Amino acid sequence: MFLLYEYDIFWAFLIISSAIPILAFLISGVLVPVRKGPEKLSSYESGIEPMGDAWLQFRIRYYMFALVFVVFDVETVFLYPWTMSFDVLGYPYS
Amino acid sequence: MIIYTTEVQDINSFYRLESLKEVYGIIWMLVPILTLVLGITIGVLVIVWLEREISAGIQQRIGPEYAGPLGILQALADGTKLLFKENILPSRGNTRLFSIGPSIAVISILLNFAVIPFSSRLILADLNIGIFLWIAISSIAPVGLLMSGYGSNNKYSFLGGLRAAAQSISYEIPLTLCVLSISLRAILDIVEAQSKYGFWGWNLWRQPIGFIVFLISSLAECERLPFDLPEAEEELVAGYQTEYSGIKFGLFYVASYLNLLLSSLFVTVLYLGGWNISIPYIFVPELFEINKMNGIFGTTIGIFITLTKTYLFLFISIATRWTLPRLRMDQLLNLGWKFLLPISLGNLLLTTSFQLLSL
Repeated sequence: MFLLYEYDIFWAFLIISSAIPILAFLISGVLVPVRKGPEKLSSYESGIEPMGDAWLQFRIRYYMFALVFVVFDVETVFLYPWTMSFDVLGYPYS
Repeated sequence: MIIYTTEVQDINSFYRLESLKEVYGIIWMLVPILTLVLGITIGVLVIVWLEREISAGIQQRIGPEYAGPLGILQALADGTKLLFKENILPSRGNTRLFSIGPSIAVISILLNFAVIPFSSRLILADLNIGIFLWIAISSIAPVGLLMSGYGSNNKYSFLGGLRAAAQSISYEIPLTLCVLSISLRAILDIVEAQSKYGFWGWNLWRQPIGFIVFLISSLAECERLPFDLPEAEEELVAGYQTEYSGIKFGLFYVASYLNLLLSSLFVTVLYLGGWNISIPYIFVPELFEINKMNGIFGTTIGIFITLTKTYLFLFISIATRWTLPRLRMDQLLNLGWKFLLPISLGNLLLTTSFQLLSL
């Protein structure tokens, strides 16, 4: 059906599994009672009124974790072809 | 004129046959997918019930007993209750990100079930890159967590989402390197390579360090205790899940157990010998026949054995949840980066050295 034949079932599985949350939201949209109120719409802050803005400055270390993860992930991607042909290649200089 | 009409009739009937074949092809693809989805759903229901019963046993109380006999329908009752709860969208939150977050978490985990062999020749998608697809797609889940944390207009959800994403990506790399060490040996088929010596041919004995690293990393990926801080009940008030109610919360709940089932299945396939009986056939020569695993009977036994080994690992992770205390966030990230990553690299080096020495 698509270009790569082995991935046909995979794409079909992707479409069906994305239908599952959509189905859940639809059923919930039909069955759910809606009673609006001002208390319901405010954010949760252990029972008190929320102070300040929600989008605060976060520590830089979370960004650095993501950066280092990208570096190591790219390294792993480069390690994979070497691993798969290890019986042919062996160690370098051996 | 006559030739023209018969040719048109031929083309018409040929077109109808081809479109029928196309429809038949589509139905032929849908049946295994729906069977797998049904199997996964039943698996998740069983895990939820198992968790309640095992935790009740550890804490010396009785688990669910009112919903169905022995409380089996408890998970179904919980899910139905969540469907009826009101869907509150936080004001000034990003509604689209709020709704898409849990969906991405569920979809990316559900997609990984396509590459697991449940028995001999019983995989949904028999790809060459099989397990690498799992590694790649499971990296999409932290995106869903970040979306949910940012889209709820809440400081604590935001921080919780950041921490959850940081934890998830930190433990991806030791996981990947352990899988790399295994695929070094068995180029063709990981489960086949473990089937020769029965019980003693498991990858568990060939790579004990890799097994322990994989165990810890997959527990951290699923955000189970002792790596529970993103959804800590006391510290962060359920972290990135704070503002969620109704079926969206249900989707997070399901995603967590789906992830656990997926990790257990992968531990079984990679380390515990998959769908082989694993009794050394030297002692019982007749069982060597069953080890061939052909036909419907052999396939069913294969599925049964896979599920047994999976539930063994599930029991271990559920018991771990109710035994060990929770790790602090910096201890968690220290463990992932400074301890597990060098050890898994060392494991890869060790495996390649053994491979070289035996050649």
